[in-house]
Amino acid sequence: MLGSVFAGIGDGFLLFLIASGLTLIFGVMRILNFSHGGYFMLGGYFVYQAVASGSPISLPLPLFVLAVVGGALAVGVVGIATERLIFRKIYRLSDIASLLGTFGLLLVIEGVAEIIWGVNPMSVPFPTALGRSIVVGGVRVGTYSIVLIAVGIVVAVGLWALLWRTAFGERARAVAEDRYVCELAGVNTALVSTSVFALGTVLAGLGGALATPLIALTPDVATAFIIEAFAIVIVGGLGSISGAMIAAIGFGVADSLAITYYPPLSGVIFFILMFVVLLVRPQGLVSNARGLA
Amino acid sequence: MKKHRMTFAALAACSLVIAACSSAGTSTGSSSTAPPSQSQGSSSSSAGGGGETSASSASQASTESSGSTASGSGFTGEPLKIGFLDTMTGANGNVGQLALQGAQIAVDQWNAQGGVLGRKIELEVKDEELSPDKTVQHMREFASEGINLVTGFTSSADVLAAKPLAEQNNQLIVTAGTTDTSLTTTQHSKNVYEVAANVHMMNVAAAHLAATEWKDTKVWDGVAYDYLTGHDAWNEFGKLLATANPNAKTGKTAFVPFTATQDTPFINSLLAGNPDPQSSALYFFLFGGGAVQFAKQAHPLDLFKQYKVVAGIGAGEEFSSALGAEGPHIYYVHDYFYQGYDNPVNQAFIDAWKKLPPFQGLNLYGPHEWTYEGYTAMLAYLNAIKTAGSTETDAVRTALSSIEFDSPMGKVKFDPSNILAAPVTVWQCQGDSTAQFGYKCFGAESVGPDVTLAK
Repeated sequence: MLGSVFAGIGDGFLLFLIASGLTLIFGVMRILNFSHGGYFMLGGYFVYQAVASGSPISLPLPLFVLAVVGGALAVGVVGIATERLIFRKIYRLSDIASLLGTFGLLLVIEGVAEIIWGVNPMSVPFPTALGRSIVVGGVRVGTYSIVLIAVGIVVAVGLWALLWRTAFGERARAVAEDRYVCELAGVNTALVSTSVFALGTVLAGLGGALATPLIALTPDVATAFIIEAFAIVIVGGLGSISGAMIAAIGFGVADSLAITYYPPLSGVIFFILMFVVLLVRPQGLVSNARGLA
Repeated sequence: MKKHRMTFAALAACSLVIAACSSAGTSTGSSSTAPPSQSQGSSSSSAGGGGETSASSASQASTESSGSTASGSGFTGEPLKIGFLDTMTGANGNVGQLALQGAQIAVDQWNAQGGVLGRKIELEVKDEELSPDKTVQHMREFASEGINLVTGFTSSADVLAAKPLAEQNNQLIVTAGTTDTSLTTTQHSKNVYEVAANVHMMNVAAAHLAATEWKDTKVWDGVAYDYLTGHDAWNEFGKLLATANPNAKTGKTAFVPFTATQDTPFINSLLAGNPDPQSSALYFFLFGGGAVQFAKQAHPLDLFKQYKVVAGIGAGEEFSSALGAEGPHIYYVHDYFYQGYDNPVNQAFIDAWKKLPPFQGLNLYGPHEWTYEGYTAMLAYLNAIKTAGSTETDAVRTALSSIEFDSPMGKVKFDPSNILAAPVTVWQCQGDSTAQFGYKCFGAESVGPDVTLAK
């Protein structure tokens, strides 16, 4: 039981890293960004390219940390470029049109990745000392899962502080509530949008970069994770970072328990919970109809 | 606003078109999703020495490589087009691309020797995207183009979709990579032949080894994909194991969805059975990216070290290659391992493969079994055409059912159920940080060919 719960929390925090950027971008820009999975995938491939494109034999921890940070920032640069070139044209479109547009962008990113890295599954070794497990309360727990949980907590706290304790956060929340009034008040909303979008894509890139020791890198990774991330964002409440965290951990633990105690529900429990939550609370677990929560 | 909308619409359309082109590149047979070994156009794939695969698609590669040898070989007739239909893009695109690599080697070798019946051989490549609908569409296109001989295929479901059309249009299919047992039993068709060892053959081999080489194993846990073939494979293995080794029994099982992104709960579920490293074994029926992901998440929890034997059914060296030094010690139970066979055809095959550039970061010491399957499927066709003296469907089918031909695994022939009666090969790989690619493989052993008998 304890092992299942812990595994679920670890899985949940990885999903939270992806979902937090997705919900942040929605909260400010009001856009359902399907291409978010593409930025996640790029984070993984950037790390692979930096540290493991030869023979995956061993990976010193400092090199891995550098690669993860560099990969996430590089994804942020890609995010800024796409925000300026593409998303600024999408913001004012209808929800359906923007959804299709971002889905098209996801396909483009997947296609480019396939051209560059091919379709063969690739992997990155665990950084030194993190490819092991320790026993906690009689349960074997991967040290890397503990790292993921720690990073997830740091990201959650950091986002909260950034949005609620800084001038940037104040502007971002204001733009999220009423972009038009902000523009009248002289706020550079374009800059805020670009900054938030960059932050969201950095979070996606960070998630992808940190996931590399745990996944097989293929272009399809983008689609696989974005579906779960979307479910988490919807259940957590669109635009709600705290809601995304609660939903991600809840889903992770529920799925883990299902696999342990009733395997036929594995993979399905995720969507059953989503259905139930939306029936009871259509606005999501934590919601703010007019901005970030 | 209108201007914005038009701009966006154009942008979205362009995005979708680009994406479609990049993900379904070979659907016309002349665009570019050939493996880099061919599309980069930098190397020969011809053991015969005359081929020069320099084109942006496999069909172009074939045309040009054949063309370069044609001038010296004196082809007398129209080029013979053979359809190659497989998944070339997406999550399992590496399977089709590696099979195409093998088919192309065979084509180049034969073209260097003058082709078949004096005709230059060309591959017409189409990407079925692992979709029965696309498969049907492309089979129809082949029929309308007058192509009656088709090879490739990774998915048994896609073969089942293609089968009625093949029978209706009198086309032949020699599958390279399909493994579902039903294709040679309940779904048997006189128009479909299979080269790869099927699940039944691999299960028989694994059960045979469980009673002989691995007779100390008492409990077999299983992990398989959560789909019909995964469940059937595990259930059949359990029955075969009970017969072959009454002292052994099946234990915990984990069926992993294809779409799973988190495998740790499945791994914990296996560990909850407290496998004994001295007497437990793991039946591992995962492949592709899912197998790699499972192993990655199992690594810190030492799952594989809890088992005396890990028997990989269907997976291959791409698994060990992706994992490098983190790869577990695994016995592969599959059809071909390049070190396992000492004959001129295998040597020529290996030599031709070595001239190819590395395939998309896949670090291999020898040709992959999917490459062997594509190669041998093509050899089957070419030998049958040569024997029949014709490319007509009925003549080629008669020849396929009767000829014995040289393959990398020695002389082989199709059995009455239309599957190649070749041995199952068992070999071992494990992570090794001192090895060139972070893993090493060794110990090839043939099991069969009696295991090729249909159920």
